[in-house]
Amino acid sequence: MKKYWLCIEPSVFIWKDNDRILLYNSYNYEKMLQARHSSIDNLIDALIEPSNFFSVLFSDADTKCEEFKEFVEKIVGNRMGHILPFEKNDGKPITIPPHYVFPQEIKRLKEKKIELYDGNMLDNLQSVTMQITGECSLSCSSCDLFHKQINHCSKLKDELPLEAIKAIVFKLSLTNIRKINIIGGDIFRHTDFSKVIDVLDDIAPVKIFHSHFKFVNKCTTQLLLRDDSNILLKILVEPLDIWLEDICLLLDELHEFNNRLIWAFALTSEDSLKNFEHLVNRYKISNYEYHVLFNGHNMDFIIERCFLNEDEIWQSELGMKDVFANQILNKIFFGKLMIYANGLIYDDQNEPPIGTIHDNMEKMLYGLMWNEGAWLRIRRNVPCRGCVNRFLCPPPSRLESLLRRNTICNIITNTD
Amino acid sequence: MPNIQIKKELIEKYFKRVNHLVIETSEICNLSCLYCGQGKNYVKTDSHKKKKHMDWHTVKPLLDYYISLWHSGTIGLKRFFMLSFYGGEPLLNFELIDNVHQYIERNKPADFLVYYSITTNGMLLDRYIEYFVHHNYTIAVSLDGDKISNSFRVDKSGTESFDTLYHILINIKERYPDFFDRKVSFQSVLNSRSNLIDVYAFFKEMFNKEPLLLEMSKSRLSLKSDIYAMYRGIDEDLEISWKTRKEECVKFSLKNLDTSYLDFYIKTYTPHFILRYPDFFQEFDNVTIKLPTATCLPFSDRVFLTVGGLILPCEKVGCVSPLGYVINGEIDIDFQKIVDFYNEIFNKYQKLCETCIRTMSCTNCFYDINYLAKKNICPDYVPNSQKDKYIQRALEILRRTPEIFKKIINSID
Ligand code: SF4
Ligand code: SF4
Ligand code: SF4
Ligand code: SF4
Repeated sequence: MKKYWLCIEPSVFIWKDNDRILLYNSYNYEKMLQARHSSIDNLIDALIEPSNFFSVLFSDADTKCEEFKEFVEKIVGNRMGHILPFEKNDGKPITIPPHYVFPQEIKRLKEKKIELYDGNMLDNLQSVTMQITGECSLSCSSCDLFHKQINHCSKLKDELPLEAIKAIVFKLSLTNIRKINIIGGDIFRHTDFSKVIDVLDDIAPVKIFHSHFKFVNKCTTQLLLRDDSNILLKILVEPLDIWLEDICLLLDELHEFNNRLIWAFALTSEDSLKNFEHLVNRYKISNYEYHVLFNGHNMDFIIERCFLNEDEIWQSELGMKDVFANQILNKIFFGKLMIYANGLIYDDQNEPPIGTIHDNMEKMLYGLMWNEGAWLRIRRNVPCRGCVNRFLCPPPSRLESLLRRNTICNIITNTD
Repeated sequence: MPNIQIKKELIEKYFKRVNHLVIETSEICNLSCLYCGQGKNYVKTDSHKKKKHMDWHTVKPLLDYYISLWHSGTIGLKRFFMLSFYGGEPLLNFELIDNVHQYIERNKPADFLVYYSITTNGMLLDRYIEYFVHHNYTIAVSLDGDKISNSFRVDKSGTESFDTLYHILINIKERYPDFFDRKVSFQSVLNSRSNLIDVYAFFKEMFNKEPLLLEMSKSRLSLKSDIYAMYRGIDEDLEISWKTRKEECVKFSLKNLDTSYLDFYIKTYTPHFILRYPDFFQEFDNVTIKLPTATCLPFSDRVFLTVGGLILPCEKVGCVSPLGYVINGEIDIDFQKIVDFYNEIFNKYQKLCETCIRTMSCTNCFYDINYLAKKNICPDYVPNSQKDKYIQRALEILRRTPEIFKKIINSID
């Protein structure tokens, strides 16, 4: 009886759930889906076992089973593996399967050995969003929803005093943070607004001030974007349908500042999407971003534009490191904190705060890591936990936490 | 192409937020260990020294600097600090230890924790032990093992220190058993009269502890020194021990060379190694690029202040290139000069390290190798062309002991 090695390529991930097996090649993004069958279960288990190093022995007798034979042929046909004849005197073929390896330092962190963790927690911070004031004269209907999905202003009866801002900025200047987002309310209503700019001007990270377009005019823009500081202004445009004319006027008025502006369009309906496309074309806006946002009564639009079906999920092209990222942390949340005008700090605004500006930030971050807060939120809940796609899907999003959903797909309906 | 550009802001940031200050309390010693860093076998270091003991005027500016930073804000920064007294023999200048201690306790913010530690040869420990117990110091005692293993550690008259020290330690252990268990640790320099297993066995049996094993500092060895005769490398010893005394290696859970080799292999040849979380983000590029050698960025871990007022990155490097000074009651530190110095050396090594297969698992600090080989050479360089040999060895290990791999990878829940 002849024997062979089935060897899998080192870039291939093998995942299984109750009824299916997914092989994903992180080198060329090929996917191969296979229904589970008792005749191949043992083979799959053997391939998944790390100490087999992606090579498993089979014989002529095994290939008498149609399912087994087909499966092996499919693997080879898809270039996810190859077959080698077994030679008694040759060693076992060895391929290192794609498992990530952490340095001692992160292992210690995971084991909660704080005194042995010699990395600096603050180095994990990427960006902070700071609401300097919650005061605002408008009454947007989605005020309380948008800031839970993106960096967006929201109303609150508080203001961060200048001294508190100074203290925060000083501490942030000692981290490796790259970006500070400043949001309102109406940022221009802060009691010491020009001093706030002075304080922020002194430190290296990029500063992006966010303002609803209604508060932006040539004058305020000039005040903010003075000289050549690394300050940018993000103009939040919403609702598109009602204010279209005003928006056009503003686009004309601010033309000269274009290279330091970011136009952020909130899209809540198919109409707003059309208007947005029209505006971008007409004004040749290149520095824009758009966000599909839930406004409380546009669920159909959200389902259509945000939720994914399985075909869409399988279009994702993730390299090995991207898959590792999905296995380890949440790329959407990681490294980000939101500080609100009332002093509360959040990793995810849809959950309770993780602390206040009076707490020690580093300790707060340790807590965040240990309790596996938003930074480390991966698809480990039901139903994702048992799903073949869980490391291929985008990480759990803010929309999901706002809607209290556990999935971003249309495949499995959430039960809670 | 010189493309490593560490920015001075980064180093300045590290200096401000560091949470470990090591003070060279005294540069003289009551022992004359034959392989000692201050002894005749080492290249002279701190030429700025005119005095023997750290004085209050040298240490105070640095203490004031950090104390004022601790007071300066409510969010961020670690709320604890480590202060270590180092020597020579620090207990020869106990007065300074006490002064520093009192000053800090009087002036630090109330909710701020300072942990104190001392590295000592232990010969005067009986005299001050009550103080250290009372203030909960962490004490690291230098002791190389049993009488033979420790026999390079002698006093001025050439008498071995073992008997006296052993007596002092047993006495402390009896008087303060709980403190001894929690706060006393040992550092052992491996030497030609000792070996890992005997050292481990000694500490296990006598004190129920595991020592921290050290090698003699190569960086300050004069090139022709007779110290080489006293030198013994940890890895070489491990190799021999696993071959000849395997059972004892298992018993003392000594580092398994196969495991460390595999670790090295995975870091070097596979994309599986994730150094730290920010590795996943492009935005972090300038922090996560792999710098040549394994030298830490200055002050990212600690600040070392010598008796002569030199500011150094740590107590293990010589004083040839101080990064700053405390003079006349002022801290004088030029961050631009520091980054110029580091950038120059890093750029010099970059080409070499890029083509060296050990780059991801390198443990060399440039202060060490620079001293040994001034001209951009590294004694541990292994060119890429030897790759096959390394891969073969890793594959052999995996074939032989496949379960090792499972120990190295992380399980995904
Ligand atoms: S402008 Fe912003 S803060 Fe003001 S009501 Fe609208 S969403 Fe709320
Ligand atoms: S969202 Fe969850 S359940 Fe849906 S496909 Fe992704 S992993 Fe599976
Ligand atoms: S020996 Fe080198 S790498 Fe180690 S702490 Fe000192 S300066 Fe840093
Ligand atoms: S061992 Fe290799 S990587 Fe390390 S310093 Fe020497 S040449 Fe550079």
